Amino acid sequence: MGWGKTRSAYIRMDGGDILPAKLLFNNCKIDIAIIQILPNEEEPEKEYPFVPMANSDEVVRAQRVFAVGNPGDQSYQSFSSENTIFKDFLLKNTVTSGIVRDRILSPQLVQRMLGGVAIGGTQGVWDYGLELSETFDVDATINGGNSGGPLFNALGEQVGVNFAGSSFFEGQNMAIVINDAKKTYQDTVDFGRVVYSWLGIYVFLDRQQIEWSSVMSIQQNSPLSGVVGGPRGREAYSSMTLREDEVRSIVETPFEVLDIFPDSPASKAGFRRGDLIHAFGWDRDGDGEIAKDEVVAPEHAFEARAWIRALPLDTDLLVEVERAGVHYLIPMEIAEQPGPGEFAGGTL
Amino acid sequence: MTFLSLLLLLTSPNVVVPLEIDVDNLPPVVAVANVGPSLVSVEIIETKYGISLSGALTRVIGTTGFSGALITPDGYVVTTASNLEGVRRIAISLEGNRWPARLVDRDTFNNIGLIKITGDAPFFNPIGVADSDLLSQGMSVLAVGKPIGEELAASLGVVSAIRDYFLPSGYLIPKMIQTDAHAFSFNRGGPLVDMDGKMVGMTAFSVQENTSTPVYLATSVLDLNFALPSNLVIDTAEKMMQGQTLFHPWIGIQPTILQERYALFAGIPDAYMGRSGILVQTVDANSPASQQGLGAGDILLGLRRTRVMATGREENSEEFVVSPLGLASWIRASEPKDTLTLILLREGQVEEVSLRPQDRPDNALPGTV
Repeated sequence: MGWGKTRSAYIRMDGGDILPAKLLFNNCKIDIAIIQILPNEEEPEKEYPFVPMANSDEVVRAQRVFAVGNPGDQSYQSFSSENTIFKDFLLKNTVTSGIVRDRILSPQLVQRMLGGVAIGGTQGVWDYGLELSETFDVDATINGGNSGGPLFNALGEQVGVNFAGSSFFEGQNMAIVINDAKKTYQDTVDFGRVVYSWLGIYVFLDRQQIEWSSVMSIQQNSPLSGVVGGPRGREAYSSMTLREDEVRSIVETPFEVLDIFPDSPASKAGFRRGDLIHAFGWDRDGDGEIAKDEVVAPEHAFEARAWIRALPLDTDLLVEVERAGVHYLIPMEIAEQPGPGEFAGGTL
Repeated sequence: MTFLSLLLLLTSPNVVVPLEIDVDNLPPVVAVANVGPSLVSVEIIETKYGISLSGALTRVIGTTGFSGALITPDGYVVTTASNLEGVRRIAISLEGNRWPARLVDRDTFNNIGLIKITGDAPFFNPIGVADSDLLSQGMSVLAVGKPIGEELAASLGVVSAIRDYFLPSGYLIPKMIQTDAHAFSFNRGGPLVDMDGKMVGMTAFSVQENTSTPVYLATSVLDLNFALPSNLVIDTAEKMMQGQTLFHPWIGIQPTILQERYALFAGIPDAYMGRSGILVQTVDANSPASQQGLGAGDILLGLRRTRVMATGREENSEEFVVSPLGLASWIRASEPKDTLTLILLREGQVEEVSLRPQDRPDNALPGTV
């Protein structure tokens, strides 16, 4: 985050070498940027040492982890090279240790972080709507300036990308799971952008959605009206912190369609606000049709989102919805989620 | 040892291969049990006078406590010097006993203080000391102390980094240990131990609470704590025990980085171009540098140290430094009888200036090395 219109960057290696680099892709939805060191004219085939990556799905609670970074974002001294002044962190390459406290889903992250004053990149993430599949909550200290640094397991494999700490709650620090970053890298290399499978149904609210609805003055029929006694418009700012049970009631199956993204698969399939989603079915066994036992209920909206994310584009789906007490099976097709410019945060 | 000889050693029947103990993976209870008998609580007893409500002059005896470590069986205790400023009476508590003590010496620059237990004290159990040069980043350490009376408090962390720390005074402490083990203010002076309970450092300060560190932070930070390396602590303490004068080499110049675009204007000879980058910003008026006529605007091109060895032979070592940190650590490595030659560029001319380092005075200009 914080790249803005940045298109050039420099990488400072451990030995002090400064290498020009370029920004390949900035995935604002999950706060991950992919930067490439430009090929060296003298040694075009030069290979750099790299960090091995683990499968972050295998990380368990209470596992030992280590964070490496340059804490204290303003604690630098300047040094010069080729007529350019660079900043060098005084406390560069600091190792901190801890354990994985929890693996948490995004609204809980928002809720937890709202309780304290978040430091690091969280503010920027909210501005685009958080689309992380999940985050690690670790007690390895993450200070300002640690953002973007790796989180390692005891074998020295990267399991996460550190991105936030809370100055109110000591020992509550956040890292993006490495599988999310890996997908961003792979899609950037393959397509030049990140492709997320998507339906276009708003199922939970985050800060951006609250802000968006108030800016657009959609006071009536706002997505917020789906929340029991929910705040509307600008009032929403003062009551953003949802209780844990409120969050759970929003996302547990059956969950409500709070709004529908225009021109999305959901809007084409005729979904309506207030529909209750019970189950999803697709051709799980590959026999070319969707049998009745292939329509399965997810535990909550996040499990459904993880299912949809894992399916390729153009997959045929059957969605079981409840409208005015009657159950319907709605056929639809998975499409690509629009970019951050169009904003689709908080959707399935 | 070659592979073959190792093989022979392992296969010969009478050799017992020692079982290697992985110190870094011992549970913290081992370290705490080992360090406990050597960890003391240092009490400073202050007598204050005040006027009571009835108007009478009253005497109040107040104590403040912090931590220290026993380093010899006859009762020498090391702690941080900042804890011992202007103290008169000291008491050491250990395992339910309280002993009177006296201040032996304080080194304010390195922040090391030495205390000796006096009176009819028995032999003590000194702390084991590990070589701090063998520490590496990521190793587990415990910050231990007795923050409140007799209770031992230990916090677990890792060596975050080992770095030369440039204090705002301009004094450089080499190989300081940065750790994320929580260090409370009362822990200061307490040892930082490895997982075997051996002292690798002495907790000195934390970045978040010490606003006079050169780290200026916009946001609050946590767990950026610094410990003095055990080798420095023990060397200094041994010199204090023998009554040696401590030497903190200083020449009295405030260095700053020379930006390359200015280096082009300054007319640096080609032989030195790109190898040196130090500009003299100010010079302390009462320093060896000012006696030799150094002044603001001089550019340091090279450094040469001449040391007379025990055999009577002179040994020269030359160096080019590119950062104020490098200059500070070069000066830090000097001995009192060394001759330091600075190769300077002054008004377009290359000059050599020789001087002897001096012990850093208390009123040295801040930022001078």
